[in-house]
Order: sequence, then C-alpha cells, then structure tokens
Amino acid sequence: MDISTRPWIPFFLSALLIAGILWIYTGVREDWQQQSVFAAAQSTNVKNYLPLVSKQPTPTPTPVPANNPPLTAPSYYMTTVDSKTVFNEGCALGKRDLGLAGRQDSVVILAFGYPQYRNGSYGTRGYSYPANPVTTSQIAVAVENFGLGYWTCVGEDFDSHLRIGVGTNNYPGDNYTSVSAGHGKAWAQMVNSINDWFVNQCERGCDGQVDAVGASDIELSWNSASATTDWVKGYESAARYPMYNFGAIEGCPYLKNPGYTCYWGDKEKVWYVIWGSAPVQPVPETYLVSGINAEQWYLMSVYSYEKHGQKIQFVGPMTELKACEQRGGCGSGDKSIANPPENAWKQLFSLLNGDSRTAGEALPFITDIRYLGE
Amino acid sequence: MTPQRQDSKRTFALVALAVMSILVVSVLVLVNTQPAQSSQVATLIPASAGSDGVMIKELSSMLNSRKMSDEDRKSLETKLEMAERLAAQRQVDPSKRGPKPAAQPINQPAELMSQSNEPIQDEVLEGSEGLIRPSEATVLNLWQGERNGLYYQVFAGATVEDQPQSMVIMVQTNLDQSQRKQQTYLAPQNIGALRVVEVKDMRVTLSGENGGQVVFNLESQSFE
Repeated sequence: MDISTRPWIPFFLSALLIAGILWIYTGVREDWQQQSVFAAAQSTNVKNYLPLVSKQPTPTPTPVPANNPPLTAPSYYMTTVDSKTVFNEGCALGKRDLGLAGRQDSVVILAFGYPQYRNGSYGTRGYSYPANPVTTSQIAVAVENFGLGYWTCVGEDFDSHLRIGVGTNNYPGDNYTSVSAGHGKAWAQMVNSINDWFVNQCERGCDGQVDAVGASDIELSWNSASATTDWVKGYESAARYPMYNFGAIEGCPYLKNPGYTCYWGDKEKVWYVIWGSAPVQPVPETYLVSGINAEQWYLMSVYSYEKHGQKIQFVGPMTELKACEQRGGCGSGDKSIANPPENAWKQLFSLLNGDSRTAGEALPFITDIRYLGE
Repeated sequence: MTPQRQDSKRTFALVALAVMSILVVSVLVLVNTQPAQSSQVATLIPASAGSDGVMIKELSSMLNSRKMSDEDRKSLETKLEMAERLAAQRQVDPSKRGPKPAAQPINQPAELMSQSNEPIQDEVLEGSEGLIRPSEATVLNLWQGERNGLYYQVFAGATVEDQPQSMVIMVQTNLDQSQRKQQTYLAPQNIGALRVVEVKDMRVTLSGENGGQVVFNLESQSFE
C-alpha cells in the first residue's frame, strides 16, 4: 500500500486509537464512580485490554447486593449458658440459613454482661437476676455450643457462614468489677482459644463455617474513658482477632448539634475505642428511630477521615427492637428506640455513602439483639 | 526508490511513532490513576471470603492514604492482618466436605458453675448493673431482693424523653426463673430522677433529685 497516495490513513488510525483510549478510560472512570459509592460489596475486578477490548468479569457472589439491606441476624443477651439451650439457639439459626437460597453471612453477638474477676477467674456477671456469673471458660463453652449447633443444623449448606461476637461491656458494676487491662487481655485469649477450638477440635474445622471475634458494648456514659481504654488496650495486647464495639456514642455530635464533644468530652478518646485501636471495628448501635445514632456514627467517620486520613469501616448496625418489645421499654416519639433493623441499615448506608469522605460502606451485616429464652 | 517515496515513508514512520507515544502515555495515565479498589490485593480475594473480602479490600484501599501517621498506618495494617486471618480460616478444601455428625452439646465445666451460687440478699446498688442500657432509661440506683417467693428488682431514675419523667422499672421473676415480668411505672409527680432510699417489706421509698419523696408498692405494683 502506498501511503503517499492515501495521506489520510495515518490520521484516521491515530484518531481511531485515541478514540479507543478515551472510550476505555471513560468506562473505567464510570466504574470507579459507582464503586466509590457501593464499592465494597462488589468485585472491582474490571480488566481492560488494549486496544479496544474491555472485559467485565462474571460477578462474584457477594453477601450484600448494593443498596439492599442484608438479612437480619439475631444477637442475644445471655440469660443462661445452659449447653442445650445455647446449642439449640445456634441450631435454629443454622436451620434458617439452610432453608434460604444462596449463601448467608451472619454476625451474631452473644452478650454476657459486665466484666468481673472473682475467685481467681475472669468472667462476667450475666443478664439474670439473681446474677448468673460465668467464667471465661464457661463463656468459651457456650460460644462453642452455639457455633456447633449452627454448623450441625446448617447441614448440606456448606457456603453459609456464622461469626460470633463474644460480648461483654464497659459497665463498672458493684460486684467483683473488672473493667481492666487484665480482663481485656483474658478476653482476647479466650477469643483466640475459641477460634482454635473451631479450627482444631470441631470436626473438619466446622468446614470453616464458624468463627469468633471479641465484642464489647462500650457505652460512654457507663464508664470513664481511662478504664474503658485500659480494657481495650488489654484486649489489643493479646488479640489475634478483631473486637466488635457494639455500643452507643452518647453525647457525640449529630447534624443539628455538630459542636457536641461526646459524653467523654473528647472525640479523640471515643475514636480510639470505636476504630483507632487496632482490633476494634464498630457494630454501631443504631436504635433511635429519629436517626440521631446514625448521624453520630457518620460524623465520627468524618472525624476519622479529617483527623486520621481514614474513614471508619463499619461491620453493620445493631438494633434492639426485639429486646425492647420483649421487655416493654421501646419509648415513643423522637426518643423511640424501636428502630427496625432494615431502617437502621438504610439510615447509616445513605449517610455514609452520600459523602465521598465516608463512602465505600457495604454494611454487610445487621443484627437485632434480644434476651435469650424470653 | 524515489525521494518522494522516501519522504512518504518518513512521514508515515513519524505519524506511527506519534501514535505509539500517545498510546503509551495513555496507558501509563490509566495505570497510574487506577484506584485502590482494583488493586492486586482485591483481585486475589476468593469469593468464599465473603464479608471478610469486603473488609480486606476496603482496608487495603485505605492504606493508600498519604494523610496517615505511622501509628495509624500500623493499626490499620493490624486490622488488615486480622481480616486476612479470618478470611483464611474460612478457606477449606471442598473435596473434604461430607455428612455432618449429629453433634451433641458440650457440657459446661461443673466445678466452675458451683462458684456462682450465692445467697440472695436485699441490696441497693448504684446504677443499673448494666442491665438497663442508657438508651432505655437513666437509672440512678436499684434495689433487689426476695419477697414472698418472688425475686424483685426496682431500677430507679428517669425516662430518656426530652423532658425526663420520674420513673421506676420493676422486674419480678419467679424462683426457677421460668417467668419474668418487667414494666415501667411513671411517678404521679415529676420530681426529677428517682433514687431508692429505703425498702421495708413491700414498700420502696424513693427520693426525687428535685426534692420530695414517693413510695412504690411491690404488692400493688403502683405508686401509693
């Protein structure tokens, strides 16, 4: 071919290549923009092959379709550690997942009450009256029973998964109180040993379908920043697994009152126990129908971004609708704590993903807490 | 080859070179502006990692921030390690799957349980023992004890409304704990958050933070 007789050919080819490059680039940019909002739930495995081929991979199954709340899992105030009762509760959740199409991914928090140290053992008070104090050894067995019940009853569904948050709180208590570094460390060691049990003692490692993390209902008005931080640092000192903070951040700023400084008077101290400490991840209590809880968590994520160059990555909201229905204390009006779980998820999701500083939240879990056996 | 033909070839070569340069520059721009979400880390996460894959992707992405202190970066790296540990724990060889046994619950260690049996006694405790969350009520103190074959707890304080009301929460449980009743009672007069000051038989005397006293009767389950 004599190019001198067709001088337009180089220009045509150049234009074609440039158009191709621009087309690919624009497509990728659009993908990025979408991913910045709904990102985390979806595979971002977009590959581009030059000159003019863009391949979208087959979407991988993900736990959360963007923009839709995931299935709510129950959490429990543990009024007992009775082996059969706890095993059956885990089994009930396993049966639920077995009966549902596709893979279910759940976080369940088992809350055992405030930290205690008695008779040379660390443990908690429990949630009954008279008190049902339990040692960390008993708590470990209860968690293993819940997991074992789940794994057994989820049957031939080998894809679903349960994560158990082993929960205490930061309440100082009057008896044998122990919101301390020693208790936090013992808690982390217990969580490590529970995971060792699931991996090594449960048959076939429970097929990798159950694991455990630490958890604490850290309520700012229940205890001082220093005692709470000591406990968190104790946990951190021995932790191989995360610690889910499923508390509330009372007195922290919300949209109508952005100047608030949290119940502890210092947002930085709050930040440490909700995200700053290495093992900590928040399961934000989002019980207020008014949406104020969601606003507080969103603004703390903004604080994290502005002050520490990183947003907070949330696990997913906790509500207490069932618990307040069980015991008749849901309140009313703006102070109603009967926030439906899906509503809590939507409140958080829209606030976090509506701001580029805090976007990228899939919130793959929701859990609603209740009293065991009531 | 004529000089004209040589010029044409030179022109073609120059144009081709220019196009290739544009191409290379464009590819470099594309690669350099690739966001963290589609980093190598993200593409290696198996689907079975589920929600842990989500966490790993986001934490990896956040580590790209240049605004972070060394301490914060280290903390974030530890979070990432923990998420990866959980994701790895999920990975099992599907060929090893098989029927699940009819597992039995593990027994609780009996020697430890015996430590928890303590005699019930009348007592007034500060706060709520962590049994009432701050979202439910502001509790100043509580009384608990046994009366006529039933366990009682009276949590004293105020509601969490914008205008708090004096209230008690009474919990009544039978001895084997098979039945439990819990109810909130508003005081007839709003005298601020209540505090238990004395309990005689079935009468619980409470003082208000704004002054004055009220009595709650366990038998009638009402304020006198």
